[in-house]
Amino acid sequence: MPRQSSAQRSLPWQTGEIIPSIVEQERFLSELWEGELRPFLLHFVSDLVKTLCILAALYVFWEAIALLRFRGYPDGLCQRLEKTHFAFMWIALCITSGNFVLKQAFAIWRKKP
Amino acid sequence: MAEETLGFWNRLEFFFLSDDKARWKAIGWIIFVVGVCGSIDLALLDSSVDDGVLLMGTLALVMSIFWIGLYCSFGRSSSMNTEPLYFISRRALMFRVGILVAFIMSLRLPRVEAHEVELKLQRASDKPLDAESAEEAQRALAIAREGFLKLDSKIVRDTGTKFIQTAEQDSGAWSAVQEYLSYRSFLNADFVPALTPATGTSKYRSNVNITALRPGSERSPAFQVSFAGGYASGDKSARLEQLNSPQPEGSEFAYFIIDGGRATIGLDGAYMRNVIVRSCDVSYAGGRVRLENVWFINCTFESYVLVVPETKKLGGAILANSHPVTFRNLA
Repeated sequence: MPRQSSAQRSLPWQTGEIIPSIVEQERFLSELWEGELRPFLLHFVSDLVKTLCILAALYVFWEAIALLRFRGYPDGLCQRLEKTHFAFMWIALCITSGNFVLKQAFAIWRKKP
Repeated sequence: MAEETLGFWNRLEFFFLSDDKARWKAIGWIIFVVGVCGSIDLALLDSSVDDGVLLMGTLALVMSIFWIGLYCSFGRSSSMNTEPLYFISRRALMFRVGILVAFIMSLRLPRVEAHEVELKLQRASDKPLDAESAEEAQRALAIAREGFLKLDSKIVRDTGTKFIQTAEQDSGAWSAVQEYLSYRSFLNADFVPALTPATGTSKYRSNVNITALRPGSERSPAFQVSFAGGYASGDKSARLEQLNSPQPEGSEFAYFIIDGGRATIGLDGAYMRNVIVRSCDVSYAGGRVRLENVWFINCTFESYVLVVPETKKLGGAILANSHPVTFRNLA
């Protein structure tokens, strides 16, 4: 017998009808979480935390150079440190963004979350 | 045996999607090696940025391919473990906590530095007639400007006013005032109105007074005038003209923008309304002037050298306002 929507029904749900519906919904959510969302979040958050750590380290480096400049250290030294910072920042941004892009591209290609 | 039959793509898939530890080990080593090589090339061998970037890009590409090739040939097999490997060692945890603490502390650094500059300015302004104090204030403001430190505008105004008051007695104090004005214009960058592109045309002819032209390449412009902000009715529209050759109507543009180049922009004889003076060297010798809603943004005041009551008044007006300057001397 086809199930009617709650808007069309005038009679209350029977206990035997409600339970399969709830179980089905919970199973779907559980499968969605276990199969799709959890692996995605684990992948994404794990990478994001590590990437943010690298960016935070670069920011600390930048502020340290600013502090040295503020304290009156020689301009040549500060410029060399700024170039070093640029080198690390450039490669860090390239590699971490490449990691995100390649990972997602690979996941889509191999059809895995 | 089954491990050996696994193909290149399976290993690659495992590397990208599951083996977090191996992937981040590769990322860490590539950043370290390429960063060190790039630093040596740029900082020690003084290579150009283009060469340095090319070297780093090539090295990163070669290392990535080499690392992935090695991993796919001899690396961990996905048959051993198909679950993602999310293992955080104690060392990695300590490293991340250390970075977090350093990051939070470094966020406070600009404020600490700014506070130190503010104290220096307050100490220097206690003896505005002392040549060393004026130099100290100049140095502190120059450092603050170069380091993008945002000082308290009230302290800038109060300490700067003391130097303005004593400027006639000591030329060093006026040099400090010039630096104060430059710094104030640097702070004003936060208060520029939102600019939208202007549309339409106007018969209005803008007129800018130039007092000096710095030597330089012929290709670099003396200055540039543009308009922005859409339509504005006659009495509210921007004006950029000379008092001795007034124009009958306003421009019908909301703002004029003067972008600096090699020229020094003279304010004597100028009538400016709703004008943004950006990255210009500005001069004023105390002549007739009418400024209404004029923003000085990232300007220098190297040619603002004459110390007369009018220049002091305009200097005080620029220092006093974080909003556009309105000043009139029509005597």
